[in-house]
Amino acid sequence: MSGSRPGPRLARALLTRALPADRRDDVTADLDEVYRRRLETDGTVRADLWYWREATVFIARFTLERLRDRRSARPRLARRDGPRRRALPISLLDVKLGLRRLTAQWGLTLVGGMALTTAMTMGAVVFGLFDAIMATSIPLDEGDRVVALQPWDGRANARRQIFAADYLRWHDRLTSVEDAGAFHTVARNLITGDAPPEPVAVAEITASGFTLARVPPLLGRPLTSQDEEPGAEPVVVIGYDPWRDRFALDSAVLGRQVRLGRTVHTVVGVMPEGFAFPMNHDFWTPLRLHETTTLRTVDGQGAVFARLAPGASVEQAGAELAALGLTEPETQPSPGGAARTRVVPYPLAFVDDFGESPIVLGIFVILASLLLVPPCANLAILVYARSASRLAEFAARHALGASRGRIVSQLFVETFLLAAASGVVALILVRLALGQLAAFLDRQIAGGLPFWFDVTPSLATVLLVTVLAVVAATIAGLLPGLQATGRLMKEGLAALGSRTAPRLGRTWTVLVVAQVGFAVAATPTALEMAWGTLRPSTLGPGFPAEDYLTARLELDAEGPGPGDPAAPAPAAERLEVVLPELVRRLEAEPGIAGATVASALPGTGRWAFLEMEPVNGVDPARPPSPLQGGHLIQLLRVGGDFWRTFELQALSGRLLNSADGLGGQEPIVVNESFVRLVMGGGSPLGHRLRYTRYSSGTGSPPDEELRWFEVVGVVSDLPASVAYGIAYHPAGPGHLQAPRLAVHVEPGVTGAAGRIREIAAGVDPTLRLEQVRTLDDLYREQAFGNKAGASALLAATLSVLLLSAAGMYALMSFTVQQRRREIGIRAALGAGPGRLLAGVFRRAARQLLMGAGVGGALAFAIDAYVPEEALQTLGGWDVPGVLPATAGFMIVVGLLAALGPARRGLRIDPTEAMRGDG
Amino acid sequence: MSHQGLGDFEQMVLLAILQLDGEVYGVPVVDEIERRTGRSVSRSAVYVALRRLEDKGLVSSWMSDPVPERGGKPRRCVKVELEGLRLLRESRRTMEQMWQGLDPALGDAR
Repeated sequence: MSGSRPGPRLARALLTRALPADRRDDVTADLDEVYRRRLETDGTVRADLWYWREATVFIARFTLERLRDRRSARPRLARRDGPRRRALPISLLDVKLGLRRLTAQWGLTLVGGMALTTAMTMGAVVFGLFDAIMATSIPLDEGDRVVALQPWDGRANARRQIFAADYLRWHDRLTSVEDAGAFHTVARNLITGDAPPEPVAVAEITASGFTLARVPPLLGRPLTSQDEEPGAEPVVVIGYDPWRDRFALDSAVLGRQVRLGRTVHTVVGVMPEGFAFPMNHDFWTPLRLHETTTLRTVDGQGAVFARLAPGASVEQAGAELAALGLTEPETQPSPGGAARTRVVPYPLAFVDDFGESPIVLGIFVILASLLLVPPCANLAILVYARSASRLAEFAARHALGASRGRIVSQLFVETFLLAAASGVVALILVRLALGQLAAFLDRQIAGGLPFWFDVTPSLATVLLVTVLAVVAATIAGLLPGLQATGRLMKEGLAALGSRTAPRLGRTWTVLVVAQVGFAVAATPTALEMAWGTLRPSTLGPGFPAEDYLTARLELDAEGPGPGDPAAPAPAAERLEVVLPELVRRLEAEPGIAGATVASALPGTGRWAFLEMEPVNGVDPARPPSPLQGGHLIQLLRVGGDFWRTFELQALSGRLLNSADGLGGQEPIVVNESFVRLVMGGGSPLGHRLRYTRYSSGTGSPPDEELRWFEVVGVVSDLPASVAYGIAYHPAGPGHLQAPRLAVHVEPGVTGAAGRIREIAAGVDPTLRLEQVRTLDDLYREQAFGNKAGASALLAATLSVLLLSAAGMYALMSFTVQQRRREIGIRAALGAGPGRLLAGVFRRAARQLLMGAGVGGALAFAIDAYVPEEALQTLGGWDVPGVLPATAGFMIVVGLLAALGPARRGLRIDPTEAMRGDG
Repeated sequence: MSHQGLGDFEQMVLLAILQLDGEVYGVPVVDEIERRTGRSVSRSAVYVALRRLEDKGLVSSWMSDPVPERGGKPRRCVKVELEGLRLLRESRRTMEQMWQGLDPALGDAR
């Protein structure tokens, strides 16, 4: 829909930063208006191109304008310093020469550039993500002065709940802040007209939130303090998106009624597009503090916010708040006085404490720089080798008056150009990677990412990449340049005639061997991990996952009791009644082949370590992986109708039925991979297992999961691509606290999601279906993290591979250059091409073989240490023959890289070679 | 405040504002100049000129009410101030004096 679509995000973000603050909103809105016009007439691609062009011109013109303003504002200084000295003897000619050399040696440029880009991208992605999370300003008027007031548990380093009494005291007494207010998020089913119910996040917020935001409503009014009074009519302010999607931009929306959960609200206002304060909200209802004693702020879904008063600082506000302190009710004692207060920039109220953020940022910068060391070291040696071969050129230039600084600066410029180009590519990749990551997080986080979360590379990220480029150019250009020209400066032109030519010694051999070794050692694992990641999407889940609709089921905290609608019952108690009824009604619906609820969906269960009960003192399981410290499997609790819904048959033994979960012995069913990986192919029937601990998360399994469970059946792997054991437990009363629903929809049935929502709302209007998606989509999203990891691993391995090849190339070029005279003499004496080639190749071949040997041994050790089970639970998959294939490939790549320079060696004219060196 | 006269482009922007009715803001000003001159004009140049003219006190601006079609974003509306009108008149007079007596020589050109 082009109705409200703004221009391309990156161009818009760059433009926004370049425009002066007072013109930012109107100029971007004007450009968006013309962009939308162009979208209608020219199509997306041409409109995007137009926007980019306009944004670029705007940025350039307004930047010039800013410089002009600054220059005219600056007092004219007396020119006391005389003519300005240039800090570095770098000229435009150096840049031109550098560009020409990079283009001429495009192979090395490409390899070096790729390695630098990979290292910079990895460093900048981590930094950029951290930078986005640690934002200290929000995109509102004076957004850097909006703060959060928090009670803080100093001992646990965690947020604490806020008592309404505390908030009210702060609100009345603090003078260093204004517009103080509070909110917390509640999830409700939105029910309007005939549309199916939809779960939405509602901000229960004080009216001061709208005063603080300084954004007037598009229609109607914001919330007022009268709305918070006891007995006031329930009202709601809605955002632009629901106004467009639910009310078709109808200006008569004011006064209409919408139902949020069990309460009917009257719409009193519509906020403009993009407004999402306080987090990512589209619905705002009054926060009625007389109805609640605490604000739910522990889970990051609520906060007390305020704007710093004019002239006040965060530190002043913090000191004033600390003086007011907390009202500590006896029910929540604070041992050891750990409870304190703090005032932080608003976005930081929702992230865990990172301590002193500048220090953490510093550590990231150092880590990012360290990533650069291996590619830089390689490049440095390449540049050194190249510089040494250009000694004659440098000597001639030196004789004609060029200083050493002049020559070295040219080498520096060449490398800097390469590093800068890599930096630009890295920034584009960072933007793409962070965009993907943000989209992924947006889907994963309940309610989506907060409105201030912006992954467009910040000035700090651009600065980091620039610094990295300078560091890279210094290591890879400046240092070898100085080294190569050192002897020249001492000996002048005589250096050319010297019999002791510059050498690539033992360090070089070690480096090449190490690189080849690392490539041979790491590539098999990288390929196995990559194949493990690609395998599920290549093989598919083995059943029509796209026909299964899934959702997370949640009940509002308050609701009617099972028998008496007036008496509220806890959500957990109501679930026991609601879930069977929901499944019953869904199964009665035409077009639905089956429905079930479980603790998790197939392939998404909780990871736990297990041990098998010894039989006559012998462990029936295979020895567990030393890497993992035990057998790791997934644990699922499923209802009796699970098997029918997923069309699973017992391969041996029996399936679970609805009577199995009702106390007494608890039988379990396992999958085929369990039999293969844990039992080593033996039958698990009759054997008993228990859990020792969960693999992640808090604490150990509850007592009831610590007892022994007997395996009564085996089913096939679901999904078929799983590579780990799964144990299915019966879901008894109280087991399903956060149930997942799976509905098998018959092929060709449309609109099932809406119908399921209606049926759920019919069972209980406070029953919400969150994250409704097909099982197929769920598996795809699950694979995202693995794919990102595998891509980074592959990119790193590829750059090592390329660098090794480049190392071979440099070595051979250097050898040929050094031995020109010798080759010439041998050719003149009648040596054939085969002998000459063998002489040139000997050193490279020896290094390649050594590297392949070291790498092969390492890979073999890794393979022995990471058993199949551990590899598969980590997401990998055994690929037979991958080790010899990698070693062979590396040798071929190395020899191919050496071939070019070797051929150059064969073309040496004997008379020329001897005369040249004479 | 002293002004150093008006540049050609600034004159064009001021005249375009005067030619338009209703809410005058950046987008229609650009459209108007392009329509009347028959040439495309750099949008950014118009916005920079508008800002400079405002700094010189020849134009004033204010934000309109939120506009639903623009996602609730307001427009920056502009109008020519008295000083701007005075300078426009002065520029016109200067140009007319320069043209005086050239009709016979440039007859074909007109």
